[in-house]
Amino acid sequence: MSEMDAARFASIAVANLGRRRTAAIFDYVKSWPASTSAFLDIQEYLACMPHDKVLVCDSFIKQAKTRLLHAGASTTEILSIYANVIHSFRLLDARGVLLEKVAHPLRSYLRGREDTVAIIAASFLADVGPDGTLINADAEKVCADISNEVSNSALNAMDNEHKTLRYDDMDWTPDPIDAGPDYKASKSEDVLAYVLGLFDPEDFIKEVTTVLAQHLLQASDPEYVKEIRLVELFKSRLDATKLQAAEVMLKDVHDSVNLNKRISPARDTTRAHAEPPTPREIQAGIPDEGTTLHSLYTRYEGRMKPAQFHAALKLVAIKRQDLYFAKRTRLPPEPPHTPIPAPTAPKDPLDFRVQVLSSFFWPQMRANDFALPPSFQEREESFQHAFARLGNQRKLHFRHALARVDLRLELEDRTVEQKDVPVWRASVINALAAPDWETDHSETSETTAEQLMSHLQMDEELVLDALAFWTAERVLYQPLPTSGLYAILERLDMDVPPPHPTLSTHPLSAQQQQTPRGAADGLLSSALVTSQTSLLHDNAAMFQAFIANMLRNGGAKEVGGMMGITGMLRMVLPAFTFGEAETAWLLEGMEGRGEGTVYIADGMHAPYDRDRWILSPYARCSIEGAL
Amino acid sequence: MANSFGTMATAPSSHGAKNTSNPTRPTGNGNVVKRLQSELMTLMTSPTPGLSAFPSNTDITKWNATVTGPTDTPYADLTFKLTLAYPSNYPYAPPEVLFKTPVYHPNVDMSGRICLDILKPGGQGKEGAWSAVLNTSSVLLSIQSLLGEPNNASPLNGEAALLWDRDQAEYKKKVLARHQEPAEMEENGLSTGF
Repeated sequence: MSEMDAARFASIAVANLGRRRTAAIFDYVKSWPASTSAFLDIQEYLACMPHDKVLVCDSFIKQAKTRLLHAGASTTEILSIYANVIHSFRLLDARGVLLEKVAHPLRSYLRGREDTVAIIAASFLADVGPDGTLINADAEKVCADISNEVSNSALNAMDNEHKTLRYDDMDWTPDPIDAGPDYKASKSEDVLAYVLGLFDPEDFIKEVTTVLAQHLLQASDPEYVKEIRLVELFKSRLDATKLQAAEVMLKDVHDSVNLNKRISPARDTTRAHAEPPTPREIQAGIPDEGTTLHSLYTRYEGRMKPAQFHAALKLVAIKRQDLYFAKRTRLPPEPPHTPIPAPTAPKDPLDFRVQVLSSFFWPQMRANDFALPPSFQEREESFQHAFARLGNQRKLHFRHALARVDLRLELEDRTVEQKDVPVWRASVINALAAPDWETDHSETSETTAEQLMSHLQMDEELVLDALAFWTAERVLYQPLPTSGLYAILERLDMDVPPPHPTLSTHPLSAQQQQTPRGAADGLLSSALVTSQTSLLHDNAAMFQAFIANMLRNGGAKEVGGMMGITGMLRMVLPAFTFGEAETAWLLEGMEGRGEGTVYIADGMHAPYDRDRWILSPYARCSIEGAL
Repeated sequence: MANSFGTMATAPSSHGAKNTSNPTRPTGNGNVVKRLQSELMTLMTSPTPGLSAFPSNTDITKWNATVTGPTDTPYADLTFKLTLAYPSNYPYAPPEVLFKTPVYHPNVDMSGRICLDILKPGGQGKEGAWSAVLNTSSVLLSIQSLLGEPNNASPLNGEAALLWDRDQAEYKKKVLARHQEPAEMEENGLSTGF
């Protein structure tokens, strides 16, 4: 056998192996990175059979279409496959031509999914543990792969985006010969760039702002390191000017920390990062392009004195023309970290902190109001005075529904501690514990949900949530299961579990007690920001007034389309961010109320385009009747 | 940076006309769009009975309006369609208002043009009475009251002016003969708006 024959046999073998591999390429993508070697096989196959690239792409697209791109796959699943596709096809072809080809169907499918933007935004802000798993996240709403990418990505990845514009770039290469017409020459397209590129940046920013708002309100880190990093990351990848709202939100929460410190200076000793920054930390904080002393110091203000800071800075940075640059030398190893023990007893029994947010830049928040436990009122007032004394002209509106408290309940046989519960739960338990308001129920301390609602002026959903929560925590119980009366469970033995028809063993009933808790927890506590749905419901009357006037003056219109009802509403009313389904819902409401205004086109009112409205019942609506 | 934050954070957030980068806005500068958006919001949230107006299409500077005739006048219970076109320097110049419904009226000509002082540019040396404090709602209100109280001193339609003073019954007949309800207009192939 000649050498040439051997080479031919080898290449035939490689090609056959590659074709076999290609037949299962979707599985390899799914199990990435464990399947790296399979992709190396395919890479070798493509190297000796360059014309089979089309085959590989087509085969992947076909497999993805039958196995992934259908209603049965969850959006998080598709997103994580998408991330894997990016990794694996970049291995096959580092220039991204193949990737561009196979990613296209995935991208267009993902764009069609309604929840994609929300999931991406949530994934950006999710907490990732050291082993790459998500902390406290709903697997249905967060894509772990994207979260991992975010935590591993570099902030300045996009700096070299405009490489083609740099004439002194010695690494410039022409576009690959087999590149499609929409091939982008950008070199820095990592997974994040691909994910962010899925959508219109404006939609994405809107969604991110909502998620970020929720995140900031619940964040416990007083320095907001993670959130700052994220906003910087978005700024480097999206249009920085559009992220103004996010920046204002960050500034608000930051200012609030300082404000609370100034108004009640005694108790900020418990802050997590109160110890002075180490030189290494300062060095890490100096950006590549240099910074001034002042702007650097503002970050560490309150943690060390200016003189100390200057000394530490000299150690790690060099000064050139008023700018400081990080020294490239290694620092001596730091002494082991010794945290300052937190003082045990705070001076004020109630650590009352307020976050001041600029309403204009934050998404709409829950605005339910209700009575707080006594003593909150005066604290609010004194805060308001102190706030005004500090020279603030801004008006304060307390959003009670957003407040959270740590509380300790001392019951006869035990104490129950709860951290970070929404304040409405505290209000309810307080009202039950101090029943001085109950004149008609003087001999018992049992209360119904209705009484609580009227006493606390609280919405039903909040009262029910609080009752469910405390019942699940075994702090409240219903003396008679069906009476709707609630009472405080002072001693655990007061609540006799109702006899179960088949089994009445204790572990089972404990388990039953646990189930509603998880449900109640997820119900309301996470929904700080007014959801889109409730926004729609709250403003339905206004939107319907707009629709009525639009149809009265503009004549019959379709629901969809550029000049349709939905499009017009979005145009004239920036607050309207909904789609055609919501418009149809509004129209249904108008028609259902029998205002005699909206008629579904039945041929009589819409003689124009009969075929059209048959497709959807609201294709054309017109308005009649007196003004 | 800190300074600009301060002013923005305290800025009043009275209306939602913030989104000036709306991609579907083809013409007009930001101020006109903002002003019209806030006028629209006022019109929608506190409507005046008998008046209604709304942008006609994605160009927010062109509106269609509907006015009902005032009661106890020959125009009672009739519906009139109008168009309003806002110039790019609105509100410093008046909108151009036209009747699309054929109207028999001393101050309205055959093509729907209206002779009304507040629809002409105001200021020194000008005969008009337009002022920037007026808005869509006040313009429509003036037109509505013009229907019941014509200015017969400077008529566009001389015959109507004479008839108004001489024979109200005959006048009303002429009004009804000329008038077409919006549905009739559409059947006759007339446009009721832009």
